[in-house]
Amino acid sequence: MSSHAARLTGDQNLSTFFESSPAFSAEANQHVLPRYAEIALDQCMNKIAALAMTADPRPSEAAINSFSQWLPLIFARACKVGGWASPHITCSELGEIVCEWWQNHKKITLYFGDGYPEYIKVWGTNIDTEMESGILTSGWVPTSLWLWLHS
Amino acid sequence: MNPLHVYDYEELYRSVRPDQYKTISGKIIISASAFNDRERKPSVDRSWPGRDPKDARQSQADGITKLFAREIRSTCNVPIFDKKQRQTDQHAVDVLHRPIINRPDEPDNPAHCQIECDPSIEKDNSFKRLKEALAGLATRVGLIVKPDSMV
Repeated sequence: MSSHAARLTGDQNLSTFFESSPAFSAEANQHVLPRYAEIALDQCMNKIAALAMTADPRPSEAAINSFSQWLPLIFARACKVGGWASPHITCSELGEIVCEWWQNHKKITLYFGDGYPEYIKVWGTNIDTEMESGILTSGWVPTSLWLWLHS
Repeated sequence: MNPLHVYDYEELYRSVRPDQYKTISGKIIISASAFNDRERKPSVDRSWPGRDPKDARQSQADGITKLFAREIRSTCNVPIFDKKQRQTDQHAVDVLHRPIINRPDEPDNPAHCQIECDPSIEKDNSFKRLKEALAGLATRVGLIVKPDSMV
């Protein structure tokens, strides 16, 4: 096996190195982000698990399924355009999972329930002129939301 | 003075659970979920002279935030759209005194009020925007009574 060969077993402490050599291993390097992603996504799912045990009302099964399907995509887009921050996660009166992110005077709220998730962009308290809402589709919307929040 | 009328200058208390707010850079941020309500009529309590805001807490783990009747009425007009997303009218948001007396399932609360819309909100999306507006107003004030765990 050459030093450039991909690792077959994970090294939790130093996954980009091969047998203490700084030689780059393309496949091993990919372990860094997945490990970070795994931790970040686990934190969110643990919060959902806690809500499912204690919240009133509890998140619906559809909401949990929707959230767990969308979370990796939202996380990936956020990482690409400027860094991930864990959302504040709660449950709505309808059993939807509610994720909120704040950045200065801006805020994004995502609602996961039946069907496509909904988003609300908030930059003030006037419902008519300082909020915008819509459906979260898998195209450009998640990226544009994150870009707007951090602009 | 009409005791059943909530005047514009009145302060209104809302009990906020620990999972319904977040501290960012030392500032308390109130979540939209703090205004969850199955009937889309979030409850608040009047702040009669001499009343300790702590009395509005639902548990010692909760904090109390404060809203002003004038702000609720003036900044929270919820637009009504037709199927083509054209605005046809708007809901007037009001604070109405709805004392709870002699109900078998709830303790008496003569200070109880509800934030209601006329016509009543039928679209869930409109109520989500209303919750965002209320959360924004509450965030300006933060918690006027901190949970016992923070004191």
